[in-house]
Amino acid sequence: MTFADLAPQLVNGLANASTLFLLASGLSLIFGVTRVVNFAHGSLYMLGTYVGISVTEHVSGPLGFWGGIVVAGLAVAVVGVLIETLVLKRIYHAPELFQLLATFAVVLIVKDLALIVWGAEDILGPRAPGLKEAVEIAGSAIPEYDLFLIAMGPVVLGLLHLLLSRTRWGVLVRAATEDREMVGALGVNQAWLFTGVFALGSLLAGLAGALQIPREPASLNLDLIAITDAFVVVVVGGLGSLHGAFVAALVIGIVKALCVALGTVEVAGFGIDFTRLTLVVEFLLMAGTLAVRPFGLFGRPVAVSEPSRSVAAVVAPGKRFHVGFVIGVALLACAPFVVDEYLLVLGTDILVFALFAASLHFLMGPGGMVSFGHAAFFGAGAYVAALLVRQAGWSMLGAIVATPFAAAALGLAVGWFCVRLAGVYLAMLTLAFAQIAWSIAFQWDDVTGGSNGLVGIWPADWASAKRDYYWLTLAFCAPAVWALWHVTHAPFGHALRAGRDAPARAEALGIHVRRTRWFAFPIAAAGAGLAGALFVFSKGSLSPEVMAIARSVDGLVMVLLGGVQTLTGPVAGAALFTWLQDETLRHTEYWRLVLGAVILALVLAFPRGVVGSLSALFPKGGAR
Amino acid sequence: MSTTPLIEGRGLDSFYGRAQILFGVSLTVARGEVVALLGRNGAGKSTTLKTLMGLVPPKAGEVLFDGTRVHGRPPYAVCRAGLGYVPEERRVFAELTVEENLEVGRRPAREGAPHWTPPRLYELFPNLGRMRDRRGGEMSGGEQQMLTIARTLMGNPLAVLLDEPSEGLAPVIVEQMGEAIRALKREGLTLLISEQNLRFAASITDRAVILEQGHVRYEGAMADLMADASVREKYLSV
Repeated sequence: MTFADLAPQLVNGLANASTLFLLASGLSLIFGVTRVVNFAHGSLYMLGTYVGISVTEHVSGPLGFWGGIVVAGLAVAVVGVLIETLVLKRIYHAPELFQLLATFAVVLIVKDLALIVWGAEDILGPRAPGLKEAVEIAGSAIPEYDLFLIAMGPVVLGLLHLLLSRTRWGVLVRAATEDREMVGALGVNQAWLFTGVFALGSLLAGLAGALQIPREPASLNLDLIAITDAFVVVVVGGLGSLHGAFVAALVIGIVKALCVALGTVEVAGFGIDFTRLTLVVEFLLMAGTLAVRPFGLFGRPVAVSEPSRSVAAVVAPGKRFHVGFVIGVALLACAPFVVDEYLLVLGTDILVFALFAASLHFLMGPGGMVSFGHAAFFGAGAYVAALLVRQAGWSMLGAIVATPFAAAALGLAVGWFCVRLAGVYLAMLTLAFAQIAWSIAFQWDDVTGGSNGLVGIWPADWASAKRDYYWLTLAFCAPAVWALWHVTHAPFGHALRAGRDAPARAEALGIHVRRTRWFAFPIAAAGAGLAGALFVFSKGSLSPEVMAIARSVDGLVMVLLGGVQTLTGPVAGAALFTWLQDETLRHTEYWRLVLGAVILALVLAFPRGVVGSLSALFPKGGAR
Repeated sequence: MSTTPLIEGRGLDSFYGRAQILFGVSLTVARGEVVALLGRNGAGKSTTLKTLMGLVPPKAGEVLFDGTRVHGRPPYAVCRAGLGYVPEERRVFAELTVEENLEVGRRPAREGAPHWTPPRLYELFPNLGRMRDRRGGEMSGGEQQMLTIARTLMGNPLAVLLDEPSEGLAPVIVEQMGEAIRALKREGLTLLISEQNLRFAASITDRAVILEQGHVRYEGAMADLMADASVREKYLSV
């Protein structure tokens, strides 16, 4: 390979790195000061792209293009301020996970608003006036616009650096990143600081989106792509470190470019197609970085300034709870005699997702470990079950029984890495593993069917009736959920919660905290894997979508919607979410908008989750 | 001069979660007075200061600053009203330089309060003047304690709540700290200082309030307390 082959890809990678840095620096600033993991940051990026293109469509020439970028940045900043003041400001005092849930809702709403305004088709943007040509460097044609973007990265880094180090506002932002309560006690109104930081972060996201106009079409998928890219950059660089984000963006941009440039390379007799790695290389980089440096390249442990919020005591379920559970399951078992087939299919979905949510809750609640990638275990379960039946010729029942063990083995492997980290870093590592799993499913055509997936995976004859499959699902899900709850209140669960609430004291009592947390992974993974196996036979087919980020997010929404501090909450959340999704999907094309609005309303009305808030209202009723 | 106390807490009940820490705590600090808040570990000294500052909103009771109710207001508003707060754990901004730490605390000049600028503070704490560009995280405990006091003074407060200024400091530094606090007193600053170190407290304060398990048990002149071994034995000895 010569430099001439490599140069265009390298330039392309560096240009990507610039927009990636703009995007990530905004996310990093917002997280640093407000401690909000803003999932809607990718949506702001997407809006920037759409708004920018719209302006160029109405105003031609350089004014339209460059003006469009400025307008997009400012418009997105306004949207960011609206999100902050109308939504987040009301829930800063709620548990942090609620802010996360609220930003998920914003993602859903923005996606459908974009669909309404701009339609489902991708929209191509114009090329940059005055920078349409390519210049010849060392025998390769290099687009001028790429060179412009490459220059933008350091320029923005420099400007941000000046802003943060030379202005009073910047000093206050840096101080608030360390200890915002102290900043308040020194007379600074944090509300304005938060709003200001949100405006700046959103502006950067909007600019990043608009600057990509000549390079990629506006599409409704940009939001999740952008947010995962931004997360990766921020985490690799170290939360809150602008320079870290810059270096991480460069590294990721270059490594991706190299993968494209390398193409297929023979290594020890095997042909490795590096271009395929582009989908996953950033996640491999992230996993590798976090394994070596748990707080990213330039990060430091996140300072916890406020005393850890009191976690409501989860009371061990008493006799009434068990009786209630048995009665509930008995009622569910009677359902096929009274409801129609449509509702039975929905009921099967609800049971599957109740188990999925309960297993995620096991990690999040008692374990205190938020996972952004729980769908990996669900999807792995689905694929394992499907492949056991199709490739190995197992019976359906055998496959369903074996799947939790396979998922648990995966959980053991993933957990080993994850428990070395904490907080957002742990969440990001789970996301990385989920993306790696997804890209394996997406690209291993021979086994997984690639993006087409696998079809014709129907239940065995004896369970093929909707009613029978519903019963089968109930027969697996109910005991599995019960087992998860039981473990929560078994000595293992107590040790897990002790490690969550007071790690040092738990260690002093002889609890091996890391190992306890580690073993929570296979348990949760087994539950999710079983749910995945039951899911695949109920649908008859599967595609990599079963383990996409969106599914992990769905799981989080279910748990948070129901309330992470209760046992029954996640199950109720799963039922509510699945039913709402089905209901809105039947009545409107814009189900995300409705769902997002409902979630937002619920978050603002019940900041402790639906079940959590209900049991707070009626302290004696309802199982906790 | 008015007789309204500058700082007044009336019947304060404060909680951490479900645990009640303060039980009907009432105390006053007159303008220009320097009062010691004494008591054993866990008696509620820090919580009292946090409650006055608005960092821990009381479930019951009132906080008045210069005759105006401030309870229920956010800490930044209490600070702007003229009440400064120096936390126990120092909490300097570790990534910020000395000068930047001071900048965070800067507020406009206030009538009736001494006006502080970095040069004046470097006079009060000469050590700080020699390390203006050093990061907070790279300073010794004593230097950090001086920086937190200086940072709060940048807000030109009428009164300052000082939480255990001598904690964990070498005796020679404690001596310097006492010198600085006496200088602040001469400037006319009102101070409420929580302390465990009785001898240090006696050297800088006029009056003492003793807390025990969240209740005010004793109030009186510092000289009287130093003369009354039985009270000290009962509430302060470990």
